[in-house]
Amino acid sequence: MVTLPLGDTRMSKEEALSAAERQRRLEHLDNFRDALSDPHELEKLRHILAQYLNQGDQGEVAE
Amino acid sequence: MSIEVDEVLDKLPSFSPSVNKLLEALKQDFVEPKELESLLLSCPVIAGRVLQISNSSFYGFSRQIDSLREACVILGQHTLRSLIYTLAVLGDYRDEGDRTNQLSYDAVWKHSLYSACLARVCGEAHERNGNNLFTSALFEHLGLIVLDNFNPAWLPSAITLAAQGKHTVQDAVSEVTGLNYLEVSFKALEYWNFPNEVCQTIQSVYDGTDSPDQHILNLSNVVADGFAYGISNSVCTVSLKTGVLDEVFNNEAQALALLGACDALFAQLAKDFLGQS
Repeated sequence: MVTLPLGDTRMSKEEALSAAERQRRLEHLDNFRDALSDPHELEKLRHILAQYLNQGDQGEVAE
Repeated sequence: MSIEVDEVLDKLPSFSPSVNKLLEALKQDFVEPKELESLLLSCPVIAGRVLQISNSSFYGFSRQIDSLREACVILGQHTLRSLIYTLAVLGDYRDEGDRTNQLSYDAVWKHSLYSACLARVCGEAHERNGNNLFTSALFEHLGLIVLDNFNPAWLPSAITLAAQGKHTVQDAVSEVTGLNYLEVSFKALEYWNFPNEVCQTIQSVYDGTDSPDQHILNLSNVVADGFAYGISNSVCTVSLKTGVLDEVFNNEAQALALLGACDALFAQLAKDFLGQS
């Protein structure tokens, strides 16, 4: 069972992750290839990471 | 060529005399907060960071900690000891201005710190020891830096090899040096008297023990690589094991929340631990 981490790590998305940094990660993610991974697993991870980087600017980073 | 890990460890550089004195005192079961404060004051960089980090969200205290003595009391000797060891190693193993070696120590620490933040939030989500996972992830790759100190020609060759083919950094280092750098990592930490739990966690990754902690560290490293915090461009630190993604992230919504919590922590700690924004 996974529970979300608590604590006072809340900050706005802009504070935690600038637009430039998000763009840098997105560009890298396009070319990211794990060395030996199962391609299906890697694709699933890339999808999650891209989804995170592309999600709306509104709201908190930590929920 | 056959080099033993012990030969590498024999050449570990020592800390400055004031840091050594502080670490020596911390080997005792208990040190009076007043004495600890005085020893910390002779290591101003470490002292400043201890105070900064005590007040960061990393420990999550509800009130401001204003003095080193208060930090010594509130954090407790065990936690303070881990933090001071961490800061001592991070302080002494940094990029030097005249290094021409292609391995950037700062890149290694940035990768490690991002992995550490993600390992901590994932660990807490799974009711594991988040602080142990944080420190283990932070020092999992210390062996790379120790090996580079021993022979600066090794790592550039290993990174070139890793970038050329389907090698993880771990496999490439092993091919070039005949050593597993994870073994160097945990043995160096043992040599410095790091907490046993941290040494054992890294040793379990080296041994290939299949455990929740190992899976969390594995995924944290791969996410750091995927998010452009690689140890070097275009190389993979470790490989993602099948099934680990679902086990650690559980579902997409929780993955997004964990990544958000990780970035929030990383944004604060990059400055406190590495002096970077």
